[in-house]
Amino acid sequence: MGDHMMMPETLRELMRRKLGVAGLIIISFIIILSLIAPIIAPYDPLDQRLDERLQPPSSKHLMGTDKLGRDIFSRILYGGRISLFIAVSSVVLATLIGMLIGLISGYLGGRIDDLLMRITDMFMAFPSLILALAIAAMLKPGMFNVITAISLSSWPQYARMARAVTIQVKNEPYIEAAVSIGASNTRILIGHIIPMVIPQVMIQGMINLGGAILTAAGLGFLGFGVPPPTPEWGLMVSEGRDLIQSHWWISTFPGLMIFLSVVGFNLLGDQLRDIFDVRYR
Amino acid sequence: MSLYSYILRRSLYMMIVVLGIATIVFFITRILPGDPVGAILGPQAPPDVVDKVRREYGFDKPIYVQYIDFLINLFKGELGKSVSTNRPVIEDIKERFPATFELATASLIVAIVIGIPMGIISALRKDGALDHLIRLISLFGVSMPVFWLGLILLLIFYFRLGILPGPGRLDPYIPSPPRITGLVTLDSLLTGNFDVFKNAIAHLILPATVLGYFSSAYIARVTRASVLEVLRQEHVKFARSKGLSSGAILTRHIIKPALIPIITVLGLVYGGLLEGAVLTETIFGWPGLGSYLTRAMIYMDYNAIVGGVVIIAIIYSVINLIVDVLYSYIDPRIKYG
Repeated sequence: MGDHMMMPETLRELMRRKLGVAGLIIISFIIILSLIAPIIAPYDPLDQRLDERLQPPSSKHLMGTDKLGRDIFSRILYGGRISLFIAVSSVVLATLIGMLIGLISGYLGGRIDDLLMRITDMFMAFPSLILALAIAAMLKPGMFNVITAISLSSWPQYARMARAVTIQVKNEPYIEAAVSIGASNTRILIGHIIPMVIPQVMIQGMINLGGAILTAAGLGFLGFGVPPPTPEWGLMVSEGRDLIQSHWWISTFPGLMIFLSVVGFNLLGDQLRDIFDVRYR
Repeated sequence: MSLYSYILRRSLYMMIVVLGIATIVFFITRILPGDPVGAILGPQAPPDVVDKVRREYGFDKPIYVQYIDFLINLFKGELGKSVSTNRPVIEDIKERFPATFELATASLIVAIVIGIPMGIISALRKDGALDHLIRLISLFGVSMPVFWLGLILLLIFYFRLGILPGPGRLDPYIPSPPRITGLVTLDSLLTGNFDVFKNAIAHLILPATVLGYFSSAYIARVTRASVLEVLRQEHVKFARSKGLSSGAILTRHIIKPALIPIITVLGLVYGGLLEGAVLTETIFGWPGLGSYLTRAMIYMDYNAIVGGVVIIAIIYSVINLIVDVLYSYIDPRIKYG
């Protein structure tokens, strides 16, 4: 390891990719676990066994039980489905909103562009978690409301990106050529601009997946996420909060899972950022 | 453009942005189906009482009338009355802001103290084992749910080891120093209460570490990129060929110029700290703006939510303005515009 200066370029590249591979392995592991949750979970995640409440980790309950006697390991397996679903859906929704606004803004230009970009600036001039919290607090707790809250507070960066790409592509000579032979706006947008915008925005979206998991968990922890008894990881951490001194396992394991999955997505995201050199904020 | 007209123009723009954010959040609270009076009084409250309280706070008026009232109040520097504390929101915020300011500043110090050296070492050992290790450490920092890290650190250092104090700004039996600035650390020093000061610092360690670690990753990343950029430049090669010691080159020719761009990200980092404060304050029972806002959201306390958001937006914008001005001051090549 000491002789890193002499390491050939390809090896160094591989070294960098290794972290990406590690991320990919972690994510696949979590996805597979949550997919096969019904097969491998030893208990029903909602099953309350009051005679077995607050049990420490043992061979019977790998990660112990919570104050209602529910098996934490089983809840964590099922919780993966919820967390991943929320993260992916909110990023997809945010990229769609962002792309729509960015395309309109960049393609039409002029006053509409000014107006839309000022609105985008306003959203960006404010911590997005707090905005997500405000929206989630006003809606009733529920999975789709969490997704709405996260995507409504995170679309602006995709809008900026989509707008930049749109303007760049719009000024290419071949677009001018297409306009001069009478191609319609829809045709230019669908045929030339959108195909250039989608990959960029998608990569940025993948980079942000880890952040979306954290936001969703934060909302869940504060009680603005998916309502109980759903096994959502953030909510599970908060359920063990008052018992942390005497029953550490209730909060520790779900938090560890949030951490692990975010590490996985961020490892992958870092490599993507390196490879595609996407500007980020 | 002169500095003053630049600041003036930016301040005007800032006001528009803050007004815009206030408007967005105002309508989010009014249009989405929340009921602050119902949340406070509970489902068993008699309807006539609910109606009376609703009238008292003006929630019975049409939304556009409420909005105009809100704007008029805002220009008078008032943010309405909180449903849950029954006090003017601006008073609540004045009382709670110093706690958040103290925590955010302490966290920023932690973030800088961890982040900058990590970034410099990482750049100097680019692609080496140390670089990878540091990048991994900062990646862990941004991947850690702050509320969970806070709980785990409390479990270890407070409950198990007992070497650091638990939640709150001071131990329960220690009286708060007389309020001068509202910053417990500063007030205790000013009044010469060194025991109180020590206790306040001890209480800051865990929450500031949690928040600071999260932000240090970003600082480390920017520092690394910035140092790498400087290393590529000619003047470093020249300094080397002149025979300057590597220590002198490092401090005078590499680190100093590399630190300038880092100032620009401090604004962003501060925004992250405000965001993180919402979760961290809840864990550490910190009586600041973050926990106030969380409480306001639980009770759907409209005025407190909008008020808290407006204040955070103002702080965030002012910091970004200061950072931009500072940046052009340090690096005269940057033009105001």
